[in-house]
Amino acid sequence: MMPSKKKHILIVNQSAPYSSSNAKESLDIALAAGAFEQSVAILFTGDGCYQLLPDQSPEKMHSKNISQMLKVLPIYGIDKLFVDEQSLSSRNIVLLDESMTHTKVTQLEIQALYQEATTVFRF
Amino acid sequence: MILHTLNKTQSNTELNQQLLIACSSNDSVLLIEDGLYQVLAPQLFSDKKHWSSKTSNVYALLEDAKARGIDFNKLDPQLEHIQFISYAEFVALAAEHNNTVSWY
Repeated sequence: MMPSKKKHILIVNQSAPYSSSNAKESLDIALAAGAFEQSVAILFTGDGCYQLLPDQSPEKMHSKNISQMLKVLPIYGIDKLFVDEQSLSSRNIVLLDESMTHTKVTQLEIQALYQEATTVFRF
Repeated sequence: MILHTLNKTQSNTELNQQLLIACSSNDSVLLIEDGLYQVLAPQLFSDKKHWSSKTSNVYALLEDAKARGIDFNKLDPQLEHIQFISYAEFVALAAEHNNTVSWY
């Protein structure tokens, strides 16, 4: 039997949640990869950090609530959520949705995330 | 007298600069969609290179703020002049101005 080739997938979110379908599509990839038991890490950087703001309520705009969807990721075995601390501070984001566990990372740690990944998707 | 609508964050630097160039003191700027995220960064509004240095008539669409988890009651006191408005008030605002320009 061939040794299993487990992928290390890095999904980079750099888009705000509701003005494009990027956030939703990145979740689709994450959930699909998680369902096939691949190793998935998600990095929120740039405007992607806005996906983690608490108390979003886009239902009136007929959008699905991205932050609610992010909360199901651990069920699919995805628990590596990283946030670019530089992006947070330059946007003055002080409060993140604490019902999700995420790790703040430096630029050096972000470089390591890219280097360790076998596949990178940017949204 | 122009109503400028802006639907992008501050990371779209060229777009924000172009608005800075176009805007005059009796114009108004209405933040919609992702433009709302700019109110989370009060330091922008004291930056001379930011469009807000041109006019103090700044509005923001309330529904878009709510959708994005932006609580207008918790804004920096420096941004108290920003008025959060409904869709109906958006229509009234557009009617009050000679022209509307979309920045996107």
